[in-house]
Parts: sequence; structure tokens; C-alpha cells
Amino acid sequence: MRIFHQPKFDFLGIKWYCITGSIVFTAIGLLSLVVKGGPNFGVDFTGGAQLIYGFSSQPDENQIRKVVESAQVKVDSVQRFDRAEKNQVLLRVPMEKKEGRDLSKEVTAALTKAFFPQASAGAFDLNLNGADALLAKLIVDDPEKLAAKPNADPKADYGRIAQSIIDARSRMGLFKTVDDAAKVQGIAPVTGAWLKEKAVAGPFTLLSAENVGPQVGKDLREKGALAVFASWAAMLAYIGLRFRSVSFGTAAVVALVHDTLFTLGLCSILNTEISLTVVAAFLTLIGYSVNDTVVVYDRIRENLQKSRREPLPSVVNRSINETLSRTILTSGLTFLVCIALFFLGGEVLRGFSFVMIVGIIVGTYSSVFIAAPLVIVWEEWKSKKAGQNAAPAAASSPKGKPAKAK
Amino acid sequence: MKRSTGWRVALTLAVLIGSIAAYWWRGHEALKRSPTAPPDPTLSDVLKNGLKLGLDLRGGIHLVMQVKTGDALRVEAQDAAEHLKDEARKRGVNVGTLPPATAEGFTIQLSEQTEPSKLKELCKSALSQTDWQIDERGREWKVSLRTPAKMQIEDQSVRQAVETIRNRVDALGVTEPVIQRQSTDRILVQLPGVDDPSRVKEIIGTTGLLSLTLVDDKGGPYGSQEALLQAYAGAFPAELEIVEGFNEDSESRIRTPVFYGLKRAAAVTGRDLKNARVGHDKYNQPAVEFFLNAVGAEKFGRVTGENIGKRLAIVLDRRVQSAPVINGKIESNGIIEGNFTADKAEALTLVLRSGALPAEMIVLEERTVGPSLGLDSIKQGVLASVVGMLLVFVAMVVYYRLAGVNAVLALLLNAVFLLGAMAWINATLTLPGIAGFILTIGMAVDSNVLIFERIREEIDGGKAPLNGVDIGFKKAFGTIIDTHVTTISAAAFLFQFGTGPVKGFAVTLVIGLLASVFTAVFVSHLLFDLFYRSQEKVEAISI
Repeated sequence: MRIFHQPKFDFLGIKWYCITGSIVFTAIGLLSLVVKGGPNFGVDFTGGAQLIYGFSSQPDENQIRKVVESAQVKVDSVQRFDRAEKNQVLLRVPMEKKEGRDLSKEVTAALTKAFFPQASAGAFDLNLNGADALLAKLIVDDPEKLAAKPNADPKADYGRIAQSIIDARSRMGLFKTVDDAAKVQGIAPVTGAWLKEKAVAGPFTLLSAENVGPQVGKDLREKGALAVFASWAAMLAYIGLRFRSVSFGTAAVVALVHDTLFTLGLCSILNTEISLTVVAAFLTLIGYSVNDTVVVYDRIRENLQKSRREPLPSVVNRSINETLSRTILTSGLTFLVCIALFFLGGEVLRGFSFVMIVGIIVGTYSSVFIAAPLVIVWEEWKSKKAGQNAAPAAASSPKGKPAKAK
Repeated sequence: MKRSTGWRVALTLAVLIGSIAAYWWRGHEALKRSPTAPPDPTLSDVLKNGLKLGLDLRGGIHLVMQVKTGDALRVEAQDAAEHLKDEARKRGVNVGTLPPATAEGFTIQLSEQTEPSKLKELCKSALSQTDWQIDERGREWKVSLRTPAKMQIEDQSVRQAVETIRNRVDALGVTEPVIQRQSTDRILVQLPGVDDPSRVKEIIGTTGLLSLTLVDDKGGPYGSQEALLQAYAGAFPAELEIVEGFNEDSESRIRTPVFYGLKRAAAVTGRDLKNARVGHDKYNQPAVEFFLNAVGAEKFGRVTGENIGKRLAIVLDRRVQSAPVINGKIESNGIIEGNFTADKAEALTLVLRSGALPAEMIVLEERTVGPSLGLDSIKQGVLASVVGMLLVFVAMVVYYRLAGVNAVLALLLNAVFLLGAMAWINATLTLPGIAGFILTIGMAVDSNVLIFERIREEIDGGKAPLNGVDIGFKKAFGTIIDTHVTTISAAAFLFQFGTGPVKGFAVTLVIGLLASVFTAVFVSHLLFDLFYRSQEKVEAISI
């Protein structure tokens, strides 16, 4: 099966349409960035807190907001997280000017007070506490009277019990009643009875908490921007060295910067949140998008060596055509993988796979329609400046030897 | 094609078996060390434990804490000031007044009777010249720490904080904790599997500074700070300090804040503590019993013996927990009351036993993932990976037929190598790492496509089929190296940028891409050779 059989498209013929189109679309994205005052940074970069709670029944976002705000905690947004039937809520809290406020503790306390008022001070909430706190409680109360038994090791034995109870909770999401915990396999009847007497199962659990202070947020923002710039520079250096040509290196990096900015602009238009993993996707995309360009360039260099008398534009066009099947196929396969990630990989990876999907499409487009034609534009401009005719001077075209095979 | 395939088969099998063995071995090792492992691990238990899971998949806590080194500096300055006063008393030198020290140092306010030359003499002998510098400005002398001494104290307090946190984490029984100093004053704490953020933060972050201090005769307690100051008629002595406590109604157990005037110099501090354990107070509520060592007991005995009838405040982290009246000489033990719950009392004994932190700590960054969210992430990540891989496999076989099968085998091998290598170097698998795993498959297939397209071109150009295969592999190799260098160098920047999960992604991607050079070039070529070598004359190859 073949997508193209010896294609002969004239890519260079439409180069000005493509370059203009790219400039326009990138500009729109950048305009959106300017209007919105920068990318929609997530909590990793802005600082602030992001808390995910799981509820045993349908949560009411408005009520949650009211409860939390009445506890002197500002709230940016309360929204449902993941699939609706999971009853999960994502709560965002803006950054505190002062470091060190324990927001997850305050919010959890406020929610407990409002949604679980019957929780008396002494009762132990199995949905809010972890194995370690349960272990401490078991050791102090000692329901199985292990301290009196000669061969027992209360810490290890209760540790195993506490862990199996919490593991059961992880599998269930959260305990609906204390009976769920008492029924866990391997729990002795005395301990079950103790649970029913001393423990309760609250209506919600804290699934994840991220609380980033202003200093760390600032550090990450700087580090992320630095990583993006540094990887651009690295790509410029590598292609410049590998092809010993300023025009190739520059054209590749222009295409690369275009891919990055276009994707960033689209993220801004669609309000995609820029989190740590999304920046990781951007860096991957930088490597990946250069990939396609390098394959085309490699072929241009090889063809230049084979047919020295063919004019440069014709060599470039032929090289794009020759590698077209590979370009489309590879991108298509990586695209498939990212689609699978986007739909099945869960909420946390959605932003990541979105950036990858956009990046693959734009990266493939720019390798064919921008990176290679730009080399021609550059060379033509140079020869015009030198006062020569449009004859394609291979002056700064690659001089490197074709890749050495082993 | 009469090329030897023996050693190539041997190498491929060796790497394959090595990867499986590495994974297997790591899985068994992990099970051996896990306290909650079942006694007879099944095959699936071993497979599940071959890779170390990151905090985002396994659940756990990631904290970045800052040590407020200013506290330690203040204590140092206060100690020096006290020492200077003691020396002055011994030698009969008038030093004037010394207001409370700050992190910058302390000041000496010379009185009318102070002789500057004598004071200078005293300072020279009592304070180390290498550590302290004195700025004499008229009647107010500023004594401050020199920079090297300051840096040493800051460094020491962060190191001591790391040590103390390690003791506390060990007492919690966390397996494979990470406790690292990150920069001058930051400490990274990662506790996998811990799902009690508030409890852990309390245990790690509580300074745990215990002091037993005499309450001044007129020191209260009072209902408000103003009332306390009034009792001294506006002349609050410098050797006293105001510390907040609480008054608890024995019936309703409602707390109201009260204020004490305490002596600045503590009779005994937590440094003289030998042990602490959970006990009970007079309401039969959990409380913390503490025991002093020989030095502490001697000091405590003397102070309590001399001050019968006065109040003694038990101060924890600058809050008065209780201030009972001294009924008689007490030597080695005491009790801290505070309406604790059982686990709070237990946590406090742990903190006291592990020693006090040298300074207060604040949390700069906290990331907690509960175990259920981690389980969800694993399920979704694995599903996406399997589906993504299958899509790629189907596409390759449809497009390249038999050569596609070759590529699928190479990709499967790539996946096995990747898992084996990660197990071998004990790399951490994170959720973005799972994405990296599947992306690697998507990107590794690029090498196969490059080679196969090249082979097709060569055969289209009139080369004999097997010759075309060889030339295709040869010519595509340079391009494959180029594409790998670009992708891997971009991933390298992720290392220096990322936190745990993102680093996990970079590790997976880099290992996967390196493995793909081997599988797509070496193994795939071998498979071609093996398949077509046995045939006498190859008319066409399925590609």
C-alpha cells in the first residue's frame, strides 16, 4: 500500500501563500496572548493551590464555593473534574502573598464543618485520614490487645491492617459507610467492631493537593522559559553544524519557533492551561518538529551531491516530494498515538496530548511548507543582494559529506 | 545473502533475556523490601513491582520546605548576649542594657556608669573576634555576626534540619523517602505511599522546641496583653517576655487566650530531653510525658526546689501549653497537657524524641496525590498505551505487510528493552513517563518508516530486492542518527527544567529512543536477513 507513488507536487510554487498564512495565524495567536496578558499558566507557574476532592454523592459546586469562601479562603474556581459520575471537584485557590499557608488543611476543615457536622472531635474520619494516622490510632487504642501478647509486633501487624483498609478505599474511591472498611478481608471482628465504634466515613476525600508558593512558581516559570530558549539554541547549533550552513540552520529554527509560537497561540485562544507537563510537551514538540525538517534537509543534501547541475529550487522540491510518504506516515502514526492518549489517557495528560497533537500537525506542515522553502527564499535574497542573477549559487548550501553509513 | 547471522542473533537474544531478567529481578527485590507484600508473590505481583512508581502514580507527598535561618541566627545572638551579661556580672563590669537580640545581632545601650574601655575589654574576651564584630557608635554599640560565621550557622541549621527531618521520617516508617537539601535554605522531602498530608506536615514542620520556664511573680496569666503590661505599670522588664497560652474551661473545654510574663532564660530546654511518651492528664485525656537526662534533671531539680509555690510554664514552640504551680522539687519528668487527641499526642512524642528543628520551617511547595487518583492514572495510562500501540501495529502491517510485521516485532522488542532498562537503572515511572513510553513507540516507528521507504525507493529504482534492503538500511542510518540527536537533545533540557514527573518523562523518552536505534536498525535488519536468507532466490520482498 502506498499513500503517494512518486509524487511531483510543486511545494515551492505556493511558498509565499504558506509563509503569509503562517505569519497571519501565528500573529493571531500572539495577539490573543497579548490581549489575555500572557499564557494561561497553571498553578505550577502562578503559585496558588489546586485541590481535587472526591465526593460520595453529586457535589454542589456553588455550595462548595460558598463554604470555602466563608472560611476566609479566596476561590478562583470550582469545577467538576474528570467524568461526571466520579463526583470529583477541582478547586483553585489564588496565590497567597505570604509563603507557607496550609490551604489544603484550611479548605478540608471548612468542608468538613459544612458537609459533615456530625463528625465529633474524637471520631476518626476514614476518608480523610491515611494509613499512617490510622496506624497511630490503632496502636494507641489497641483493639486486638496486641501489646499484651508476647509474640505480637503491634506496629507491623496494625500497619498491615491499616494499609489494607486504605488500599480498599483506593479501589472503591471512598468508603460509603464504616461497614465498607470493617468488611475488608483480613480484618478481625474486634477491629471491625472498633472501627464501627470509633471511626466514621465522611462524605468526601482529598484526592490530590498542589500548593505552590510564589517563589517556587517564579522559579519554574524562569526555568521553563529558559529550557525552551536553550533547546531552540541547541537545535540551531546542531543543524548549523551538521549541515554547515547558516541558511539551513536559520530556516529550521524559524520553522521551529513558528511551531512553538503557533501552538502557544492556539493554547491561548482555546484557554488551555499551561502546566508543567504541558511545557514538557512543548519541549518534546521542539525536538519532534525538527525531526521532520532534518529528514527533508538530509535528502536535499544528498540530492545536491548527486546532481550538481540541477538548480537548488528544483532539488529542494524534489527532495520534499521524495520524503513526502515518510513524512506523512510517521506523523500520522505519532498522531494516532497522541489521539489515543488524548481520549484515553485521563484528565492529567489531556493538555499534554493536546499540545502534542497540534504540534505534530503544525510541525509536519512547517517542515514541508516553511522550513525547506525558506532556504530558497534566503538563498535567492542573498544572490540578489550579491548582484548576481537568479542562478542558484550553492555558495552556502550544505558542504557536509552525506551521512556516513557504517 | 551470505552474511553471518549467528552473533547477531546471540546479541539480540542476550539483550532480550537481559531485559526480562532485569525486570524480573527488580520486581522480586521490590517485593522483598515491601512491608505489605503478600507472602507468596504471584507472577502478576512481580510484574507490577518491576518499576518504581513515581509519587503521581503511587500516591505520596512532595514538599519543598524553607528553613527560616533567621531564627537560628537570633538564638545565636541571644546566647551571645546572655553570655556577655554573665561575664559582666562576674567581673563587675557595667554593660548598660541589652534589648532582645534579632537575626542581625544585638545592641548594647551604654548607661552613664559604663566605662567604654572596660566594656571593650570584656567584649574582646567574652566574644570570639572571628565570629563577632562590634560597631561602636557613641552610647549604642551594635554587635553583629561576621559573614563567614553567619553562613556557617545558616549552613549548620539547614543541615541539622535535614537530619531532624530524617529522624522524624524514619520514625514514621516511610519506605524509600527522599530528603534532600535543594539550595542554601531549601529542603526537598518526598514520601512515597504516605497519604496523610496534614499529619505529615505537622510532624515534619513542627519545630518541637520545648522549654520549661519560670513565670514571673507578677507574670500572670492575664486575659489580655494590656492587662499584663498594666501589672508592671508600663515598665516591663527586659529579662521577661510575653508568651501566649490558653485557658481551658474544665466543663465546656472552650479555650480562651491568656498571656504570661515569662523569664527569657529557660530553666530547661528540649536539648536536655531523654524521652517522651503518650500518657494521660488529670481528665484522663491523652497527654505527653517527658523525661529529662541527668544534666536536665539536675538543673530542673534546682530550679523547682528554689521556686516552690511559683508557676512553671511548659512552653512548646513559643506557646504556653500549661503553667502549673510548683508543689515540690521535681527532677526527671513532667507532663505536657493540651487537650490532645490520641494521634496528636503520639505525633508530639515523635517530634520531641527526634529533637527540635534549629529553626522554623515553611512549606514553599506541596504536592500530594492520594492513592486512588494514582490507581486511576495507571489504569488510564496503560489503556491509552495499549490502544496506541495496537493502532500503530495495525497501521504498519496494513501499510508494509510482511515488513510491517518485522517492524512490529522490532517495536515490541523496543518496549521490552525500555522496561528492562528502566528496571535495571531503577528509574521512576511517572504518569508523563507513561506518555513518554507510548510516544517512544510512536517515534521509534519513524526509524522503521525511514528505512522501509528508502528500501522501496531503491527497489523502485531497479535494485535487486535484497540489495535494496541492504542499501536502504545503510542510507537511512545517517538520517536516523540526526533525528535521534534532535529529539534526545530537546529531551535533555527537560532534565534540568522538570520536577519529578517531568524528569520521569524525559528518562523514558531518552531510553526508549536509544533502544529504538538498536531495534529499528540492528534487529530489524537481522529479521530481514533471517527471513530471506533461507530462500534460494528472492524475487520480491513483501514491503
